[in-house]
Amino acid sequence: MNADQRKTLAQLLPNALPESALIVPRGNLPEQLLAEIEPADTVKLLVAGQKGMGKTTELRRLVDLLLAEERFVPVFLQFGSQETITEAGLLYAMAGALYGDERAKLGADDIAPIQHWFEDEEVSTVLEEGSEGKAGLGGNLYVLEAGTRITRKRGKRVQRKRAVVKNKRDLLKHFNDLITKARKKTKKRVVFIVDDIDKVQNDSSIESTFIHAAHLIGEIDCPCVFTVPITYATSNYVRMGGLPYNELYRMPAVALFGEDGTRNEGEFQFMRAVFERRMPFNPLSAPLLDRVLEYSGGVLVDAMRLLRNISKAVILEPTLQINEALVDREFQKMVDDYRYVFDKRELWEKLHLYCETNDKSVFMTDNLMLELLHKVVIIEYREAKMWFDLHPAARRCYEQNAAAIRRLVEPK
Amino acid sequence: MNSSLNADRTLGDLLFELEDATEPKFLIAVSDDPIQTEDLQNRIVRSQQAQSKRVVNFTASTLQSNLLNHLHRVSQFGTVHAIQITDLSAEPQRLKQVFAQLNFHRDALSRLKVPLVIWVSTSALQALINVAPDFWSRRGAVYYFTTTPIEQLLLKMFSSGSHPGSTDGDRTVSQALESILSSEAKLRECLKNHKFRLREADQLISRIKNGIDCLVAACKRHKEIEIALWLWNISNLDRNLQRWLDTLEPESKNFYESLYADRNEVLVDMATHVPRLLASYSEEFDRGIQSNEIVSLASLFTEAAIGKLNEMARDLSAAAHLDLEEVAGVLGESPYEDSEDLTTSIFREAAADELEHWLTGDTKRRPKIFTPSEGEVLRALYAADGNIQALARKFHLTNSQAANISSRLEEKVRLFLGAVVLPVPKLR
Repeated sequence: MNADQRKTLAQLLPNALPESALIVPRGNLPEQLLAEIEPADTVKLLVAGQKGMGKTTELRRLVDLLLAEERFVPVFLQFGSQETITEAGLLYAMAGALYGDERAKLGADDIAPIQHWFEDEEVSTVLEEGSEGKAGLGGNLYVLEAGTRITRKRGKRVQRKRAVVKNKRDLLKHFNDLITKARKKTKKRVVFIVDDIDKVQNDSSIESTFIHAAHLIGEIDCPCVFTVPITYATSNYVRMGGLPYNELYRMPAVALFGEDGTRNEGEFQFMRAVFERRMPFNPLSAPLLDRVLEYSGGVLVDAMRLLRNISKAVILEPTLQINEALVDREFQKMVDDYRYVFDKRELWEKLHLYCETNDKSVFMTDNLMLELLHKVVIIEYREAKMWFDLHPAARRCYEQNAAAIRRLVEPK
Repeated sequence: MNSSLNADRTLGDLLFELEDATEPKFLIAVSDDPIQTEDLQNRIVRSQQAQSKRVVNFTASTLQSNLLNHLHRVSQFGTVHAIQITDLSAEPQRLKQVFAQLNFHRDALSRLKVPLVIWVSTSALQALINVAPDFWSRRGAVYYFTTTPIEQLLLKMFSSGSHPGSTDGDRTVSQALESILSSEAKLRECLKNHKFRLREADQLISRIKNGIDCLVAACKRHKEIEIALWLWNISNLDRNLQRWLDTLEPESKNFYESLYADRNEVLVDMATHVPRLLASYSEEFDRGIQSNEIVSLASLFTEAAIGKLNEMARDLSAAAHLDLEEVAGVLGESPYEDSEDLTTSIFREAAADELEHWLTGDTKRRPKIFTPSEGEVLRALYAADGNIQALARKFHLTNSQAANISSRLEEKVRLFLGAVVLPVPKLR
């Protein structure tokens, strides 16, 4: 394997974090977000999309745009894999990220009130512990460690409820004061971009924070962008419930074809450009590359996987004929994966329904829509409006097994 | 099961991935044969050992808790070149715990920069996809050493005794109304809880909106009268009108019984307003979500119907020089009162009389609720004593078609007579 081949395989790994040089601007989401942020001091924006659509990449582009403007201090933090989220935890993480960003020019004194807020909670608990004579930390509480890391302590339940020393409004006030200090010291506006909220394991805790305590989030005194679960994008309540979010932006798949089946050459050019940068070793001709992109359905991570497997096949067998059969062989592996994605009867029935009716509008009101989106059985696209379609691999899985599926779904 | 040659080729591909031990890869190996699985795992270990590389195996029971700590501990010094996670065909609960941790720690596992090979059976693979969808989306490759025929997978799912799948298909007006009314009540309860689950609220909102869409579609099929009849029955307007009549002196009562005839006029009038009512409901419903005040479709209808009845009663009162306030007051009450079922109702009795007189030919005046063609069928059914075959012969239908028409008309007749009530929750 030569260096280009090795680099290609490395850069096409789904886990690989792209360097800036590999990023191809996709659409104008960062520009749209910037347009919302510029005129409004306290705008709150949500971003939602299926896995592997490039949300994080585009948000990093937003950070670069904000930095280029020289009027902003963008603070990017990835919430990452957390079990739960709370309003206090979120504010503390954001405060920590702002304090930790040198551009904010904040000192230890500036963040002290927020630290004290959490310390005071613990002090009151210790007092109670003393009066009870044994360890009795109740529930979870956030403990300050050196630096800005949050940890949680879990303790035995106590019979008595611990009196709360400070309420969240006080914390919010301290947080907003911190933002004001950063603004004064830097003469720039602070903007938070909080990624991966949608990756928090306990989704009811996300709801507690972003739905039930939305008023608190709404009162943060600077623009914020949060990535949220795909549920929020399709939620009637989020749309209608008067929550303090100005807009919810969606990160759809690349619409290589329009809803009416028309080829979008511009989108093909975008995807070709993405992989041109990632594949110093590219064994495929332009038509074969396009075939791969079609098979991916515009899902970037799936295109990466297909191209990596094809490149690997050619590296392992240099005399391999590089033709449609090779591309189809690798696509078949993706199709085979989908057999196991459909793990219950209802999903097979839905697949049958969609493939037989070929009516794209049925997805919108389907009761299993969320599960189908999570499993990337259906893919979200957006042109003038939002629409959905089956993943090409899911559709091929049906086509190859239509007779067997029909026999079971439509028993005589 | 995969042939030996295919298995070797697949293994070769997997070994290639392990050549570069500094890249984070999630590799999934699928095998249902425990002997084959063990053999393949050992071959991997030996192959790496031959290149002075070290592979560490972990079982699911070891990783059940603190998966990340275990994997981090072995990989932190760069002396391990691959990690295999084995024995994932164990009990479902243990599987779930391991998969949940794989999902949860996927970012941290990427940073370990060591290839991870997860060995699963085909059934465990489905569990992995379900429990660890984010981990699954980051898979580098899946290596199938066992392939299960699709028929086998399908049979397993379809023979599990679950109910045949139902599609939305054509929903009747009553089903749509039942869905709307029950969802309204549940949504009110749901939103009272300040920690309500978003998914529950969304499902209920969806049901209401789907129900409204169904009714709008029914209007396009000229089912406005059916909708109005159902809402009239749901709102217990006959009962309330009867209660109002019972409060009157006999002379006034006799006078106002003539409102019965106007009751049918009101129904027909309300039917023409159903599309507008549904549009108005949709707008008010959307506004109500913001203020946590869920509007009731039945209440909107009742308000409109009572408004119309009051208007007619006012006209009658003026003509008869009766006290208007007495009339309007009772009719203005909400129909959703808890009360005993009203067994006698002048309106229902009059409806029954009117229908029978017309069916027997005593009168030529067809109740306006029924279209001319419905009237023909009803008369034919009456004459044939409900005989479906006779009906089919008369109208050149199949028995099945005749039965469907008969069933639909029967429901409409029952609605007209006030003999049908949806199981709706009481609002007061």
